[in-house]
Amino acid sequence: MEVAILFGMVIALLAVGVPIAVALGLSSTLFLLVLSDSSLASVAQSLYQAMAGHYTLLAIPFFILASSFMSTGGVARRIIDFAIAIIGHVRGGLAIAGVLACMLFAALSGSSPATVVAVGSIVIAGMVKSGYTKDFAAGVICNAGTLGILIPPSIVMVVYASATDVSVGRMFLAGVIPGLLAGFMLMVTIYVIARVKKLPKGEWQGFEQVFSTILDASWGLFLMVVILGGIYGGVFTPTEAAAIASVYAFIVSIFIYRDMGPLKGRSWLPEAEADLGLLGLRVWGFTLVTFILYAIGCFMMGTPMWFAFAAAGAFLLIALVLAMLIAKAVPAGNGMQVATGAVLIFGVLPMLYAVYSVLTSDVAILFVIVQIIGAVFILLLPPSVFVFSLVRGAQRLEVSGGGYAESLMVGGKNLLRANAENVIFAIPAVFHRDTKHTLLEAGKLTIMLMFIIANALILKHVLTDEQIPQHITEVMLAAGLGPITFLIIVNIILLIGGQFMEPSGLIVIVAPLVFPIAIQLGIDPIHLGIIMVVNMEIGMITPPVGLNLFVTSGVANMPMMRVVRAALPFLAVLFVFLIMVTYIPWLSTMLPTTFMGPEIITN
Amino acid sequence: MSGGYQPKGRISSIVHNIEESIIAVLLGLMTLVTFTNVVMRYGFNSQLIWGLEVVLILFAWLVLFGISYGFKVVSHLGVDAMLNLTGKSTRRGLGILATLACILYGVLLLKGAWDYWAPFAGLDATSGRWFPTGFEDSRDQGWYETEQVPIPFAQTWLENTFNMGEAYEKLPRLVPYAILPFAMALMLFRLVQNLIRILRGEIDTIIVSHEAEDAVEEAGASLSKET
Repeated sequence: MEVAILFGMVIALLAVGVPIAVALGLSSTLFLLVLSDSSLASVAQSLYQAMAGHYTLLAIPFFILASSFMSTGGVARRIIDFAIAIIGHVRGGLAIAGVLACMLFAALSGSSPATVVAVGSIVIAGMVKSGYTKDFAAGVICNAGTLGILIPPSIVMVVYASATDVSVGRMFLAGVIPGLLAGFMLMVTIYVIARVKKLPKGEWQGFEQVFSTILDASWGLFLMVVILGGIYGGVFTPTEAAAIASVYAFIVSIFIYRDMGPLKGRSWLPEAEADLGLLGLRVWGFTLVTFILYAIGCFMMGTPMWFAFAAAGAFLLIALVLAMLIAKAVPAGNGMQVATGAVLIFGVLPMLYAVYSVLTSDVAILFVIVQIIGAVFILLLPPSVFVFSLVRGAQRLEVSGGGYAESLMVGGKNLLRANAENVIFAIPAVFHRDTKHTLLEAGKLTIMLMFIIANALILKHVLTDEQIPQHITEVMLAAGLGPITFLIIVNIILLIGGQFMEPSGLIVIVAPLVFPIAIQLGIDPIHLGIIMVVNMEIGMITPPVGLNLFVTSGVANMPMMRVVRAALPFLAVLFVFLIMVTYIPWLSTMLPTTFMGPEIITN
Repeated sequence: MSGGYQPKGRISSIVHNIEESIIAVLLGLMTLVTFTNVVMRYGFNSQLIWGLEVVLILFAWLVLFGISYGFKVVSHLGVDAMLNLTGKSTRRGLGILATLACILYGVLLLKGAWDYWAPFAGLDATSGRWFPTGFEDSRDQGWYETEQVPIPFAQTWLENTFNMGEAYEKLPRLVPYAILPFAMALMLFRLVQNLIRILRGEIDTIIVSHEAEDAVEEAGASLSKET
């Protein structure tokens, strides 16, 4: 009964326009003062300890900061170019590319509205130009944008992990398969619609375009590798990984992409030398990156530094010869043959060898699959990117009419100049107003989220103090509740709650209520977490008041009702997805269980 | 809506700048300390032993300090679905009501924050359960220290003022906790200012419905220009 009053008060306060955080905090404080003997001082203490006492939540500001550096239009643009180069040529390709871009961008940013804004503002305009209806475009982006909280790293998952004491690493791993599956289902739906409605298709732009755009986007996408690789390699805790990621994002956005900061607008190759120097720049640039990667490796493993020099030297020799061959072959018209040959030698052979040794070793099937995927990404992808981006460089060189030696000179000169700029501006960049602005924006978002989470934690204290979760559990179990009914109830609560509430705050409140029941019913905590995240996602695009609907209607400049109607077909797809995630536990639990051992339930 | 805040006059723009700088610097420091610690662990097999504790303190400072800033620039999340259905005058009335609720929250938490912090600083907490009715004698807890944080400066002053001249080995807890009463007082101040702004008709609500509101408006405007 008291609980009903408590929640009634929260809802009433929300309805009159009190901020979510205050609605939660004020209701719980009043509740405590009236019904228990705790003091106001203890409320203030929990507010402080919400931050200072939660190491896991400390990951949130860092993830937000990393994604703020990455949320510039430039990064979204590069990711979209890449997505279009890969899939743009099939029917409905631009829409499918939009979904892919949302998935990739989601991996960099933890927030759905941010994803919709960044990707939507570019893709929707592009789709309308190439002959899609605006409704279709808005519907696609509105739905795909929700993947932001499902694909790791995800702030909502950090909050769930903190609220229920499961591992953040597990939650992130658990999100991978559902995230990919949801994206895949959306893409298939779009493809079918495109076939039926004869939607436009783009042109295949060639492998050199695909790999050239990968190269451009890879600096941003490498952020994922830093975060996930760091966590699962056992190198960092998730919190440290997030902090490293924000430093990395700072470096990439200011010194490499130069989308902001003191070097903004000064590109690596000046306009006049862009065609001539590209090939040379890529040869020297790849060598430099090879050296840096080996140097970091040596530094962390304690290997002597000459090893990095030797590796980079060997790489440079191969690169010089290869670039020369390609520069000769491209004007003769057989550049692609030479490139394919090079990829066969440097990429496919090592990969096949790795696959062979994996297949002959004696490990579980899932490990085999993951290691093969790993072999493709680590052994095949980088050489292909390198070789085909050299082809692109050679093509541009042919256009400019310069020679190979000249290109090397110009490229090397510009690489030196650009890096000299980077060194000179290294310190000013930290104090530049763009840096301050990004820190401020990230800080604002952190404050907003943590204010809600901190107050939700006060509410959680009230609930646990009054032993409400235990009561609910008893009542539910006494009523003969089975896992299936229970999960349906969770779905419904979250779908409704997700319409009004910020996902992180909702998780803090609902998780402690449903968690004990789930444990009693034998539901895996990780599985429950993924169900909650997916529900939250769908809540964002369910009429009448889904958050993403608002954002999309703003971005696409369309009335709300039109967006709702446009989003409906894809919403149906996500509902099917929700049912699958809810009733097929292994979708979420398979990866974490295989890689981190079975979940140990502590109660 | 959010971002609609423009400081008026010299003093308020200086204050605005200071607030924004504090937020940026706190977040920047958190990142730097954490980053440095990881590099030191792998590169030099050592670490700043106080690193984690300091970062957590800065985290608490960032959020608590920022709450008042969030109220000032109207960036706290709320639910405006119901508000959007109402007319302009009802909306304003509800805005006043909502601000009053926030002010109640501010008053309660200011008392709580003072009561919590005061004993650590050797001061007296207030009596009364709901609202301060006077001061009561509370046990001096000025000797409580943080776990690892060294004292950067003003050690003697701290010892003489709060610990009756006895030496501190680590930073006393009263320093990090001081943010609580400070932040809550500032929040209350901003809330009262917001109330005045609503009464004057400068703003009509103290919430935004999602975090990307500015960006959405920009994107929508540029899209309608293009198509």
